[in-house]
Amino acid sequence: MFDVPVDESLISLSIRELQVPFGLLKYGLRKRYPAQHHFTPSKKLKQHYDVVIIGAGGHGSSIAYYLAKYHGITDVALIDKGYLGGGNTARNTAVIRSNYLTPESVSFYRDSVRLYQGLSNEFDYNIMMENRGQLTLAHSDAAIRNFRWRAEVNKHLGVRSELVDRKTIGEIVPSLSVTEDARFPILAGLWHEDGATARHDAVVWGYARGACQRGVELHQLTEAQGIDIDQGRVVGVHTNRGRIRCAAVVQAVAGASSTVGRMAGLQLPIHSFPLQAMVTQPYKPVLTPHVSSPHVHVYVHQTSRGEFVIGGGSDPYPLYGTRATLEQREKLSGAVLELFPFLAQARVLRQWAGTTDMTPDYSPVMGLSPIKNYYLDAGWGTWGFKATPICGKTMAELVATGRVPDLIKPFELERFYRFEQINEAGSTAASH
Amino acid sequence: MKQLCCPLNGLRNISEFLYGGEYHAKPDQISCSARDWAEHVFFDENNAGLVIEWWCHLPTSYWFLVERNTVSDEILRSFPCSDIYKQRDDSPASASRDKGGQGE
Amino acid sequence: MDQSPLTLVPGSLLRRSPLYRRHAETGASFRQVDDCAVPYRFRSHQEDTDMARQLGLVDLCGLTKVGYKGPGASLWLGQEGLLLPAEPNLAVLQPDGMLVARLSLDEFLVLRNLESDSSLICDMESAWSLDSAVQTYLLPRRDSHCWLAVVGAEARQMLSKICAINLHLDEFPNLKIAQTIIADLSVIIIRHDLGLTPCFYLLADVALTEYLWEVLQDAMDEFAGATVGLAALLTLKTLLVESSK
Ligand SMILES: Cc1cc2nc3c(=O)[nH]c(=O)nc-3n(C[C@H](O)[C@H](O)[C@H](O)COP(=O)(O)OP(=O)(O)OC[C@H]3O[C@@H](n4cnc5c(N)ncnc54)[C@H](O)[C@@H]3O)c2cc1C
Repeated sequence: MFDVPVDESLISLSIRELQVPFGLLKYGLRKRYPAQHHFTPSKKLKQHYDVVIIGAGGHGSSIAYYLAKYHGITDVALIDKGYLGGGNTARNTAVIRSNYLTPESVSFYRDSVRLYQGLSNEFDYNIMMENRGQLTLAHSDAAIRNFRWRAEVNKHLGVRSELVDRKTIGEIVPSLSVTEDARFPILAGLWHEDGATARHDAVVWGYARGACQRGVELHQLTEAQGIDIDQGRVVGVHTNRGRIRCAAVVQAVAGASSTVGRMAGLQLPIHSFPLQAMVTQPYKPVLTPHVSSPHVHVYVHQTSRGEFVIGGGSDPYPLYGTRATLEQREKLSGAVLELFPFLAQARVLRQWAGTTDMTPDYSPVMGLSPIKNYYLDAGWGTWGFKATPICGKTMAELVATGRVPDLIKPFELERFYRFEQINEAGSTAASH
Repeated sequence: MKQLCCPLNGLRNISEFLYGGEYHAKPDQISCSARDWAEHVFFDENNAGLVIEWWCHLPTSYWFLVERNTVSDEILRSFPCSDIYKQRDDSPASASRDKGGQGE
Repeated sequence: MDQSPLTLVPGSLLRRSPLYRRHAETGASFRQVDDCAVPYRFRSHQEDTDMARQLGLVDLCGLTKVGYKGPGASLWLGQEGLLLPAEPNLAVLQPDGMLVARLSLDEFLVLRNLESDSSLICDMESAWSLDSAVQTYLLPRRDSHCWLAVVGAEARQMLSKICAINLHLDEFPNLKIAQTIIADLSVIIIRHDLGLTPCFYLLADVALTEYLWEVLQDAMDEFAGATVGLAALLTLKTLLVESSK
């Protein structure tokens, strides 16, 4: 039982480029492969914590991680009514991109994508970041105008986006059908080189592991059932395992934002819709980038395992449920065949849904709430996985310092009272 | 496919309908504050459980109300909006009309 | 009805259906009905009629139709001497063959009869004014909706491929209406049987005529149905009259 000595200075450069964490390489060169325990086993719930984070998805874990890492706040309970990362983090299609439309969103998601790039090394844990690029398709002149606009805003803010013609599309994605006699012929594309995917579970596990190593307590099967407020300030959380007193609470519960918000007496600009996705059986690699068509309402990429991940728009009406429907499978299948006719023979292996909290302007609601020390990380709809790192970092800063970081100021709940929406409708539908 | 009963057209596939948002009593536009108005426009109960919401039957553009359970997706009843809006403020004549579908 | 065959000269001011050119290409002969050129026959009269007994698709787009809507509509239409359906989604046949369809409590659609003249519907239209018809609003429907008919023994079977409504006679008797979706389009279906031959009128946004037509043709293929002219419908109707004597 010995480690093969590795000259780290020699390999560090190429490893960095490959995004492979050192630990993985060391592990790979070992003779024996001991299993690692990621998380501290759940302890007795204490009666007091400095901070309670409700929801141990990617967001909650990321907030806990940055609180501990940058602000030394480790007396934190990260509680979840289910298990770690079992919510939308487990269900999402893992698209990471920053080619939004409004300057507020572009800057925010740009910083998130940058953080993602370094995560494997920072965690020493492989999140399987794949810089595959993302291509959004235009099937109408209006979409091309929108793409031009987005490309300009993106470039101005340091995000790689460009309008590409059909010839270039054919080069980027040779397997895509760019024929003229399609129902909706492809006219142009928005090519976003910064687009990527990552292994969603690994992201939440990496954050939770890092947080727990620094002293954060993860309590699964611990459901928030009530919030104690005293004179406009949050003082505790009721759970199925008892009452916790605390100085601050963050709610990061994705599809349960309205329900948990109501415990604190808050009403939110949110409607909860199911969002479905499905995967095919695995195939040899034929598709590298992520391809999205807001017009035919479908997006698709091929995972490193070979499965085609296929997603689209939300269900047509709100529901707190995660059933999958035949109608949506039919819709997604019809739409994906318009882009990739060769998938006609593919078999669908799994189909599932998550509850997504949609806001009127397709932007999140994050930051301060009307209750003192009660912080909102909500309204992530169908697009919140990509925001996991930056959301955690900025929310942690807010909780630790009480000051709202500039990057998230525009997303505060108060914007609706000022009628200042951050309209991302044009760049979010079916693009995720 | 899931079906919904339209007060005007009877039981139909849910794909014939458009979901139109939660039913809220409207605040008085003249006297209410800007904050009240913002809440009316943007905010929702989004209740996990029973809700009353607007639906439209697309082929007839007929708007009506539905009581539904947002957890079990059970539809409890659907009824014409004239059950709630007993009269139109702009047309005194229609105030005398009793309930029934107003296909508009 | 004018029975002389019609040649449409360029510059003719007759109305044409959005499908006119398709019909002309397939060798239809036209007749003038009111101010419109209607496809009258596609094959020999006998062949057209036989086809219509089985499964035929008919273009009635040019025929006169008009709508009325408003809280006063039923009162006014009653005063004009029309028989009105008691509830929405039913139609009533008028003595002259005109059809009055009730689309909602307050909205009516009046379809011209297939034979004789259209004077009644035109008289009504000219009798209407904002002042004379209290709370009744005229809806010009001639150019807003297309009007097609699916006729024949196989009509119900064929429509069941593309329409979720049960059109079986037990569930959907003569003169019943369904406002529903066919091929993602909003369509008004009115059952108006010709004697024992089932016949369904389909009315949809006129801009969708060609698309709907293609969808229907595609659905008909399997049953070997085809386009037939107005003459076949008229013949099936008169058969009714004879057999019921
Ligand atoms: C099918 C699908 C595809 C998607 N695709 C993408 C994509 O490609 N890219 C992208 O950026 N985003 C995507 N999203 C959106 C993304 O998944 C979410 O926005 C994101 O995962 C939200 O992270 P979270 O940590 O806030 O939520 P979650 O991972 O859902 O975590 C919330 C946690 O809160 C817990 N919780 C709820 N109520 C309570 C309570 N009362 N007490 C304690 N715990 C509670 C839940 O159990 C859950 O574990 C997709 C979503 C779905 C459903």
